[in-house]
Amino acid sequence: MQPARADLTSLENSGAECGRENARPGERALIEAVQRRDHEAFEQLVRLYDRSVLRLAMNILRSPEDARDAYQEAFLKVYCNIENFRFQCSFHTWLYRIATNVCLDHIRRRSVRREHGVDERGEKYVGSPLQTAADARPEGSPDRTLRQREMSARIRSAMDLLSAKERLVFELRHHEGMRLRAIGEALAMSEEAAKNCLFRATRKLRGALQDVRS
Amino acid sequence: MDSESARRRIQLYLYDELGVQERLEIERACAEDPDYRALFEDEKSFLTTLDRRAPEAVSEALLAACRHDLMQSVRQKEMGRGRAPAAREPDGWRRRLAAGLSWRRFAWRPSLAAACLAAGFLVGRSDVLRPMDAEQVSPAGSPVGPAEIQSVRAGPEPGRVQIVLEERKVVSGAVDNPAIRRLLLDSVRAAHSGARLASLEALVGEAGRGEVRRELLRSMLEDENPGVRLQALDAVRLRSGDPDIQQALVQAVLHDPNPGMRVQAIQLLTAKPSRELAGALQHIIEQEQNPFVQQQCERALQYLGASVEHH
Repeated sequence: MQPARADLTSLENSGAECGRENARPGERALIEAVQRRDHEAFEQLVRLYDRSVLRLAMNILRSPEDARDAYQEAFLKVYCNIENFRFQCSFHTWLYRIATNVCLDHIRRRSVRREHGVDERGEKYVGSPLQTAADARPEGSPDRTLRQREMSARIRSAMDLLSAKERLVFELRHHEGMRLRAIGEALAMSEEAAKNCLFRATRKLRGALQDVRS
Repeated sequence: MDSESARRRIQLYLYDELGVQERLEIERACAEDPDYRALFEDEKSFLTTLDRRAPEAVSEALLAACRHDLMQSVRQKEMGRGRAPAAREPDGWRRRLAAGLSWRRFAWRPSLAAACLAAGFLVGRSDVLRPMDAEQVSPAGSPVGPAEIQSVRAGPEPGRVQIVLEERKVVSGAVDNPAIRRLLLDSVRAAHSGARLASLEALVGEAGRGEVRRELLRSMLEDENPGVRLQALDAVRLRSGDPDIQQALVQAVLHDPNPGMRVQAIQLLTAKPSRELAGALQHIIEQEQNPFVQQQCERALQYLGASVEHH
């Protein structure tokens, strides 16, 4: 059985398993500067990846507030642990592993809160002044926009049927375009397990969306 | 091959996760077997359906707020560790000194920290924390207002009290001085709205700097006080053509509860309308109840030659 999550030390220790992906130009120098506690270099490094990390968190957690917390937590972990990063795997994989674990933790904490009835912010998208206007923009005729919104809502609600890990694998493969091997590395599971997870996710979605498609 | 395992292979093909040989096998099966072809098309259409879920878009304002929070936390962490936030690689004698000390840094760091702590303690005791005599705060001396009293404790002897007064410091300097700018940025989040307002006013000329700009946009969208939000909006007025500021202005028009703020934001947005704004303006018209805001949007859309969809 695969461990539920790997800590940061084991991540670096398992560097041999990590695929060596092509790093962005100048990324190594930037990482080394951050390891020397160069604040500006850290800001630059964050800006290389933070939009995709935030989008991932929004897709997984469906709440701007939670995504904001997850963003902060993930990058702070990167900052605090970057001294241990030894370039044995790509920074992208390392970062995504941290970010996905943080998102999983958020989902777990949320379900614990729900069980204890402490906080019910819910998993649905919560309105916020920081929400984007683009999300709600009409893209064509009102009818088409309405249909698109309905379909989008159906898919979102179908995704609630997935387990946290299935949702993560699906998001990372279908929307982020990550290879299954890299997803496996990020989530501390084998490539085969990631494939199974993806297949389970799409099977559940197919079942839930049967009537929409027919 | 049963349907489930066939679907699984087709899915991996569509996700481009198969090797060349396996891809060729699937393509051959599709060409030779109509049932397999139908299964392939069904799976393909299903995955396309899943694309119709609009991904959660990431707004510039949210991203800016996240970046601001993160950098603030990093600064706090650095302060906690007793390090300067932007410690670049030392050069010359500093590098040699650092190299000389590095092998035993774990030994000297606690000693240095203890020495600093002791020095701070001595300075504190000698000046700030030394209890003053009652004569020093007598009615003839400088008056002490209630705002300066931090706490009142029972004294060591019966009938005596110890009043802890807040120490006040005055820091002055040019706004473009990094230390002053940092204080102003912290003050933009102060509890007192007057301090927030005055800080924003002082930062107007610094709006070109990333960290200042992010804070101005955060205040414009999130500050609880409409006066402060308006001041923040005013501070970005000269840069209202920049994409991140336009995004934030759209958010202000869409979500700010104060009509005055929405009017100001729409005026800024429509002063220099761009094609990229057309969708946002149409969305604002749909949502907005305020006729002035609607009218401004309509004018800007007409200027852009975009359709005005009114419901």
